[in-house]
Amino acid sequence: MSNKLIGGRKFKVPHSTGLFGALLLVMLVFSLLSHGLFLYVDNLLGLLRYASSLAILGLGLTVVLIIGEIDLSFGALYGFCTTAFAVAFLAWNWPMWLSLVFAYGLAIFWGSFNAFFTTIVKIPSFIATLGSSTFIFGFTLLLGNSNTFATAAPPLGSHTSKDAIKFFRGISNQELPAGLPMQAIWMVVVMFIFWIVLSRSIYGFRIRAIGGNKIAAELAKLPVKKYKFIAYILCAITAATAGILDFSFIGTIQPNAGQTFLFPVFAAVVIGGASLQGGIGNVTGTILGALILSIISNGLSLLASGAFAQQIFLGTVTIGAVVIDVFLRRRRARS
Amino acid sequence: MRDERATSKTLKVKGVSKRYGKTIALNQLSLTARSGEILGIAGPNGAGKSTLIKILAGEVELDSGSITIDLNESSEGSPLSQVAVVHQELQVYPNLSVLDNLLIIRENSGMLRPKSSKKELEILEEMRLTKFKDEILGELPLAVAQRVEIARALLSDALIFLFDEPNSALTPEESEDLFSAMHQLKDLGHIVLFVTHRLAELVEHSNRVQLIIDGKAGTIFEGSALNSENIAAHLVMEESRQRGNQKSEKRAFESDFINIQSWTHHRKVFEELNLEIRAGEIIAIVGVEGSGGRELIRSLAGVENAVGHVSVNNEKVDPKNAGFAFVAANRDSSVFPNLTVGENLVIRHSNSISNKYGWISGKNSKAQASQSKEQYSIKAESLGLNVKSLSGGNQQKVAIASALSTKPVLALLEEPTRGVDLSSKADIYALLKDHTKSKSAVVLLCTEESEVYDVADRACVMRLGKLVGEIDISSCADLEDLARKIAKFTTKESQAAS
Repeated sequence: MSNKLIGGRKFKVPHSTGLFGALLLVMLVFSLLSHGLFLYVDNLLGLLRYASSLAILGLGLTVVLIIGEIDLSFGALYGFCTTAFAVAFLAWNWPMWLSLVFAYGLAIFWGSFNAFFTTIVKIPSFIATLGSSTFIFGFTLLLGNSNTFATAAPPLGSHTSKDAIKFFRGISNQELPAGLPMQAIWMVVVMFIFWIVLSRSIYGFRIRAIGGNKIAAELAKLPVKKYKFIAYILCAITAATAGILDFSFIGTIQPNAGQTFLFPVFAAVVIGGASLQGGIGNVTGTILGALILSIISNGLSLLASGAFAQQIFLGTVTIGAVVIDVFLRRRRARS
Repeated sequence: MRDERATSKTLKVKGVSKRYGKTIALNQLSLTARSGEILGIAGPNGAGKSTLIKILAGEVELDSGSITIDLNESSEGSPLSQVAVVHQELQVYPNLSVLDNLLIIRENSGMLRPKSSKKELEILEEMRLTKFKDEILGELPLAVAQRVEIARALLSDALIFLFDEPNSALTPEESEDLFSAMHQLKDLGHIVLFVTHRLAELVEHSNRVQLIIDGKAGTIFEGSALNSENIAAHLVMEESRQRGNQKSEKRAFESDFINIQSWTHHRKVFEELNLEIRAGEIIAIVGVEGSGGRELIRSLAGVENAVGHVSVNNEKVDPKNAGFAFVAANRDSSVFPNLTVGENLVIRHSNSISNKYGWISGKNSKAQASQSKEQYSIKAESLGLNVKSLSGGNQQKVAIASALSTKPVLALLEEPTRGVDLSSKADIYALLKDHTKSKSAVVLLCTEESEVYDVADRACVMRLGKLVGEIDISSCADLEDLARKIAKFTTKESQAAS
């Protein structure tokens, strides 16, 4: 699923083929190392659920990277938007649809907030979103009174109906045939939307141009600022979606729940081939990157390798993937 | 006075050649520069001036030939060393004071912060920098920073001073300051080379002017032959002999097409400028860096800010969204390196490749791209190739095609054929002329007289933010005649007279 409009790499081995090979390889390695434990259906389904969260978050980040910016605030937004939903739904007794409108409205607000500082005030997006992530986390604590919300134990004074809660939990906690996680279905939906937008819309076409050469895009009068606003809003919306789906599945939301996603999502997207220098990235790559990352992370837990191994692994793949990206760029520039 | 200043020195460049791939940049170039004189260097773009500067500065190795400095007439040449280049991109530390900028280059000063010695203070005085001694360099004007650069070169005992378009970003007063420093270096007995596009200044400040054409040394102008009209004529003579220049036929244009009135740049590079562009016309804005020509083009394209009145067919428009198309001189600013040839060709299109909801039709995009490829004679095996795999000339055609294929009423291009081969050049001129057939106009920023002659109907000469003259190309007898007319407008005398 190349997102090239004209051309594409029909006669070369596409990047995604290599990624698919890597995916099979890590599956094989962990199946052998864990003496088959890895292949247990329950394990694979749990892994798929985690991969879905990574992929949904990663797709939003992919758009921001393609346009040549960065977003470090999606972890904080995950916590904020989900807490906002939980507060409206459980504490303020709003109907579910209105609570969702509230949460997504705030996502759009924070996405615009990030875009405002990067495109209008013109500060580097790394700093702008690093700052906004702390800022947003502060508002999460303020809005939710630093509380963890649970659907099983709504806050005092809540009279949200049991049926409404049951309906909400059903969004991603349903029994599906073969025990498939509902989240994987949602992931496929989100994936399809992003795929069609990136490969078939003028937006998807032009963000690659903007990320590939920002100055040329401005001189050609492409709508650089508007498109960056949309990119940050999309990223915030995926953060809210991933958070609300996880809340629906698990039934609890802690204010800092999204922070642990920051590095895994970055690693997944960069493994997927998106370039931190802009202009390059695609849906297939990000999905495969999310799968590879969750397999390795799951495999390491199965081997009882300890928390240190997970952290070392994450750091290694993040830096490693960026080194490969820079290396490939240099080689391309030379040829 | 230090000893080496008293001796006479000669820079001898003998038979220097340099080639980049198939292109020969310098071909057996020889020249001589003596201490106590300023040697001006002139030549058209691509003649090898910048290669020579890079070789003298030690940034590029020469392929063959030799460069030596004779310390007096009798001695054998010693190898080239100690060249200081003064241009716009300074190698100074903007966060340090003027004095610290001098102290920072001192070697072997031990662990302690170096203290200023008599030598540094002397040089500060020589360069009239004493009063700025403790000020932060970044807060001072560029002209002062350039003098700091010179002072630093003096400190490290530079023998040769190379002024490469040194004042393109300076005001006239600042320029005079810089030139007085240049003359001071000459009087101190250093070898001074001066490279500039501004012929009037070249003539005013040089003792001799050496022409470089096609990588070879050309005529040397001195004495009464040293005047800008003469140099301009020589500059274009060689080129016009090489290829039969073809000026535009006299054509009739509808007036009242695009009117620009009281046009003022936001940085006041030009003020209250008026220009009328007629339908079907190609106008060349002629002006060196700093004349305001570039800013005029960019502000009309809506990529830089300016205020005033612009109208198309008597309707007031805002250039920012009037659908005027702009192509920058530098391909790094006009081509999208991560996209294919076909994608580059349609990147500025929207309605012709997508529906009103923004969904792209792959079929229409390919059709549009193939049509552009045909129409603008782009030589590429397939539209799916990466644009960077094309030759420079074809990349330039892709950039221009992507702008012109949206059929703008006004297309603005900076130096459309800079760095492209002769056949692409001819192709580009043809497609620009073709474009104006459909009730639209083209405005170019030109630095080469031959380009003006080949493609434009009218030249508007800019100098110091003013349109100082208009030349009807069809009234010029030949390229030399045009070059003389332009030179006349850009010299100070005619400025005062008009």
